Amino acid sequence: MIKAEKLTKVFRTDEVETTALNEVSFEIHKGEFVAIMGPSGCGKSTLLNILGLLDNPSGGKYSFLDKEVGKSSERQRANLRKENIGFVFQNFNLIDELTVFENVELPLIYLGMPSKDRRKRVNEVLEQMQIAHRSKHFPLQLSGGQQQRVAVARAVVAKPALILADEPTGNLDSAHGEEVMNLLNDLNVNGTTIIMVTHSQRDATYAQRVIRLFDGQIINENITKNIL
Amino acid sequence: MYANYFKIAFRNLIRQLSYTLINVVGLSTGIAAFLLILLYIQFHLSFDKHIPEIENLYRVTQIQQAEGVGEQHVAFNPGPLSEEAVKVIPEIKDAVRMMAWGAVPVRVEEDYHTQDNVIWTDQSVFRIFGIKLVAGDTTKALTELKSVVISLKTAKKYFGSAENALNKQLVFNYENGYTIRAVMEDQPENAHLQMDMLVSYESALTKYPFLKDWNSNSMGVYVVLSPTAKPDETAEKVHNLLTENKALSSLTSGPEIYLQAVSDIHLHAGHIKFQNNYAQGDFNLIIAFVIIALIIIIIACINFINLAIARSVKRAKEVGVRKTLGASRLNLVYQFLGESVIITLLALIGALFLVELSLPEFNRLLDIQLKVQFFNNPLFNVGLLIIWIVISLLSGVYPAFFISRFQAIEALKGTRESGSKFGGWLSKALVVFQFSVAIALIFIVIVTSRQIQFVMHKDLGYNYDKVIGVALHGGDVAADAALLKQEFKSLSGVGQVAAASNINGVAGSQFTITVDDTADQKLMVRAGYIDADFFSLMDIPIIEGRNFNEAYASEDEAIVLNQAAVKALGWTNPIGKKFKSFDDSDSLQKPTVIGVISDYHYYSIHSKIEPAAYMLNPDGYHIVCVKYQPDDAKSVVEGLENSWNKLFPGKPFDWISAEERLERQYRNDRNSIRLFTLFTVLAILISALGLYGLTALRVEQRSREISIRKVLGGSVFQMMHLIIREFLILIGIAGVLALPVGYIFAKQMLEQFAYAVNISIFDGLISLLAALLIAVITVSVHARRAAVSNPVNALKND
Repeated sequence: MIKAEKLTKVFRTDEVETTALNEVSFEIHKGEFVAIMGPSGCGKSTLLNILGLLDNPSGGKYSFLDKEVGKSSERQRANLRKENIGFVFQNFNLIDELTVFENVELPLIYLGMPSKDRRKRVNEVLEQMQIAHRSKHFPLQLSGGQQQRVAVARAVVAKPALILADEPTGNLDSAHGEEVMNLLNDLNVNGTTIIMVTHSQRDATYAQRVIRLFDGQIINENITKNIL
Repeated sequence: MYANYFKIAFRNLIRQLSYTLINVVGLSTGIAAFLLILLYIQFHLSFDKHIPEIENLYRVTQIQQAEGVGEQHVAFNPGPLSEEAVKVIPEIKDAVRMMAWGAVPVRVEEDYHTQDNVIWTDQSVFRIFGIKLVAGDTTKALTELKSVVISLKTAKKYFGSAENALNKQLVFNYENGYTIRAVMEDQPENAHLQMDMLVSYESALTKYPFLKDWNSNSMGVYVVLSPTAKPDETAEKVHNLLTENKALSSLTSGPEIYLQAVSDIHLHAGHIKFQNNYAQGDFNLIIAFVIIALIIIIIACINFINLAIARSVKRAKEVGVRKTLGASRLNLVYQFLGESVIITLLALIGALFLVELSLPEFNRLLDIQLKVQFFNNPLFNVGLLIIWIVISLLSGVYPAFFISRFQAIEALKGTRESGSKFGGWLSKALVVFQFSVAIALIFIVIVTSRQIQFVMHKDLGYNYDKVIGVALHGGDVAADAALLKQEFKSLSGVGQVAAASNINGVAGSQFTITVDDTADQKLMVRAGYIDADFFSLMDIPIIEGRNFNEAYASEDEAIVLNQAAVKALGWTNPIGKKFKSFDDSDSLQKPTVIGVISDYHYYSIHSKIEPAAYMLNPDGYHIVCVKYQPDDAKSVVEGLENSWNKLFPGKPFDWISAEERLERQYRNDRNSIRLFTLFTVLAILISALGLYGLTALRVEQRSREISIRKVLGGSVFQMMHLIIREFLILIGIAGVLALPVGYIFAKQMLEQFAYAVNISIFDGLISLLAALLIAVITVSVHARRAAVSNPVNALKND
């Protein structure tokens, strides 16, 4: 599903050039649950942004769904993104001005789904995430765990093939964290590919494979459990 | 998708209520001012458009070279011209002559009234001006001697209805036997000539036989040309016609002629010195107001743009999330434009409310009757729609593109600051523009106000303080004046009393005098018919020779000149100099100069003092001037009125104070400056409102920095200085840009006056200081709040 070959990302300012990713190569297959780990500043988030088509690499090749996308335009990336990728962020990134329902509905709006179908699908997902009773609330009226469940609901509502999660439990207590990890695990069991950046060793145990990054390079890849 | 945009737009507007209010209030005020100005301009552009053949209707205008005066434009012509022109110039299809009189005493049954808007004219007036008759004979209403046609409102005023007015008799200007032959519809307010009473030209001819003479020059002449005619060629033919008939032989050279389109009269006749024209507009003023209207609306849009950019930091996360979820840039542009469309709509509604609210006061201020008409006036349907679209785009497009340009990752990470310092150079440039405009406007207002003050308080060369004029209204004016003078002098509180052709000493007309020597030197002068008391009543010094003396038998031929006349004639010893007899008689007694008075401004100081010749001529009196002593003008006027009623029972008592008359000459200037000041204040308020909102956001953005500085020991004053300095620099730049522009405009404005104040450096300094003060006060509100706030709060949010 994903194939990275010698991916490089260099950030330049007037005086400094920082290599965030240095010739990183790996492959991720459909249905995998992969954790990316490493210390702060090792390039995890940069890698996730490139994988999520939010950013282009400075060098190397990136194939997504067997298509080279490393040099795609913003418009092409936006289209690929909305059809195939769901995002879960550490700080949830819900839009405060929209209700739970409307936040979850947003990706479907951008996909151009008719409103009747949207309503049905959103309600389905909210039920699945056990947050339907809060659908008319605004994000700031919810607990952190509930907000993250909304974020997960939003990530999966368009039935993406891939979910990218950036420290999904970073802002949650352990009980709520576990809840969210179980949700991701369930999605993975049902066939969704998941790539998760995390600091948490415990969260990493949910993944089948861990890619460890250090100074922009992969230092090792472990299989944590058998692929079912 | 669009429902979603509107939903979030509304929620944003409500959530950010203070921001929304600043935007809506600023835009509403801006649009309201814009609409008011457009209404005002529309009114001035609409003049005479109701006339059916307006595109072919012209007024015959002369360019005279007047000795001692110079070039002057005159829209009067000899009485016989119009009839003759229709006969001999084929492309002139129709013509009408009109002689307008300001106010004429009219007796209806037993009561006297002062009738305004009286015009002597021909029957063709109805055809040419498309005036419909409400009652009476349409074919010959103005063909007979002493026939009168009155407007519907006049008919209602005097007789209750049009039908009742028909065939009623009037005493017109103390002359019996005038009959109302017809009642016409009222003229619209936007007609350059208001007509409330038309009197047949035949009646004028009997009363003023000189009108038959090609040498008299007192009829406004309007001609209808055939559509294919070339006005310039026709004008040449009119010129030839005048030359053939030896018209205006007193001028050294015959006048040049041009045909002025009647549609141009209202706004383009300021240069014409003599004309029948009531509500004269000023095209330059219209241009000035167009500029102000645009400036105000642009300032309001700038507020919107600046606030949107400054607030974009807050919207960055939303942009990031939407982009991550697949929103294209265009989706986001639509969304943010949608918000501007909604805000503009709210502002538009607010503006209409403000217009309705302020229109009565606006009308009162300008003495006009403007109305909001949603169906009949395109300004309020199509116009509003255009304003809505244009302002939405003008204020929404840049912010929409600016905000939607944010990269998703940067926006989500929060590293996106809206171009470090409030939106970068564009925001700064816009603030500089706003304040440049404000400073330039303040500068112009200061200079203009000083000029008006100067005009009102300039030593005009005579003392009009505590002078009242009582109108004589025709009849035997010499006898009436003598009677009144005697009666008024006996009243308590009354000082000197004098009779004159006008309260300023001169009649409205000019005539040419010829020096009695071999060179036949000519001079065009204003004629003043006064008695021996006039100069001393008005404190006008006689600088050479002597005043009139009514006891001398030969005083009929005595002439007093003003300095301007002496100068124009190039005389050093004027006393005893003679002119050729005015009535072409070869009498031995020739008009002789007995004295010279110092120049005084008998008209407004818009114009230069022209040569004037004064004569002791009781038949030319129109007014009796009274100098009163006590401060209580009211009791004096009451006394005068009682005396008047005793002497002339039933005749209307019309009086005017000299000061009021003078003030009236500057009424247009004063109205313009009032309007200009009003819109300047609005422009400044809108700018200040924008600055207020901008500082709020700026302070919010810098709250972390301010907190850290405070933790490190920064004082409240230092923190305020930090924020205020940023804006003060911009206003300094604005001052440098604005003052030269203001200077150019102010200079142009002053050129309309023959005598003007000098623009001083203080005008510039005061405008700059005023702008700085406004800015400092505005910015300080938020700067102080941030400076005294607890730094922990801001850092905690970090």
